Amino acid sequence: MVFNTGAALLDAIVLAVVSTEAEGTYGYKITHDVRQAIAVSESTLYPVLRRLQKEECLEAYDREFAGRNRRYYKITDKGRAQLRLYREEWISYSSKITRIFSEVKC
Amino acid sequence: MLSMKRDEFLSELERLLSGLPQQEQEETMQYYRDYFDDAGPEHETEALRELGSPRKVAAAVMVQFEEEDGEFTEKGFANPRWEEPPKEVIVVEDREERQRKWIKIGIAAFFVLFILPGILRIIGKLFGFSLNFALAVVVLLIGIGVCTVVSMIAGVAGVVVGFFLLFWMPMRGLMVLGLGFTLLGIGFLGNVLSMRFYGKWLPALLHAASEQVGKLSRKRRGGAEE
Repeated sequence: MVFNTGAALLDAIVLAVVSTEAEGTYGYKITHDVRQAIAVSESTLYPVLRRLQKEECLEAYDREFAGRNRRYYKITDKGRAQLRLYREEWISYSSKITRIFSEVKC
Repeated sequence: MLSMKRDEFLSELERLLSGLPQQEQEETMQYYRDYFDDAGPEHETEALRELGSPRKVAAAVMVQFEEEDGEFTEKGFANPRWEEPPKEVIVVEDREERQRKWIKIGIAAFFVLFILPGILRIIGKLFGFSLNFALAVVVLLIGIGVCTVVSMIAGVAGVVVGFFLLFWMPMRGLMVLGLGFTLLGIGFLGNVLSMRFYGKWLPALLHAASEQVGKLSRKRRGGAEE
């Protein structure tokens, strides 16, 4: 991809992906869902999850799955508020960019 | 990296993260163990390729904690610590040193077990002593040294422990303190004795022994010439 994904946009995408699962979701699935949109390396994703967890936008908990404990991530109220803010910002930002491109004649 | 198996990857990652707080290490390890478990054996190779090297993964985790240590270069954020873990070097040095120490101990043990009895027998014969008598002398010599060292250490320990005990149980503290000083006194006495033993008598004994050995070998050589 020619456009870089900044830290804020990456946070927003991860929050959005996690928020779609009411019961929470796990690292491997988050990676795959995020990869549907952007090419992000796995080594970048864990630090993002960890940081969002420390900022209390996500909470982690362990649930048993196939005889082992799997770490799940769930969005918090704070995370949901943050996500709403990101979404508004994105809609405004992306619509402006889209408008500029729509005026391009070539 | 493709040939690297899941377990190798994880143990290498664990090693690289050892500088982080315990909780961070555990969180990270849990995450990547989960990642491999969820990928399953059939996607292991793919997962390993996507993750890259353990060093890269560790670096991305550590960036959050060590930003002061590293610096931004044209290749991105870099920290000299990721380039070569200094731990390995230290471990190697340690091992060499330990080996040298063990070799020394081994030589000393060999000497005491095999050479010393022989020397004792020679000394015993040369001076007309019985072996038992020579042994007794040596045991006495070593014993004095050992007693000195032990009573010095015990004395110091007694004084220190006694001093602190004074605050909790004054009577017991005094007793231990007194015992400590007594042991120290014995230690100092032993010190003087050992100085005599090891400083004068032992060298004299060894000197006499070597002279005797010298005479003996000269005689033998003389005998061969005849």
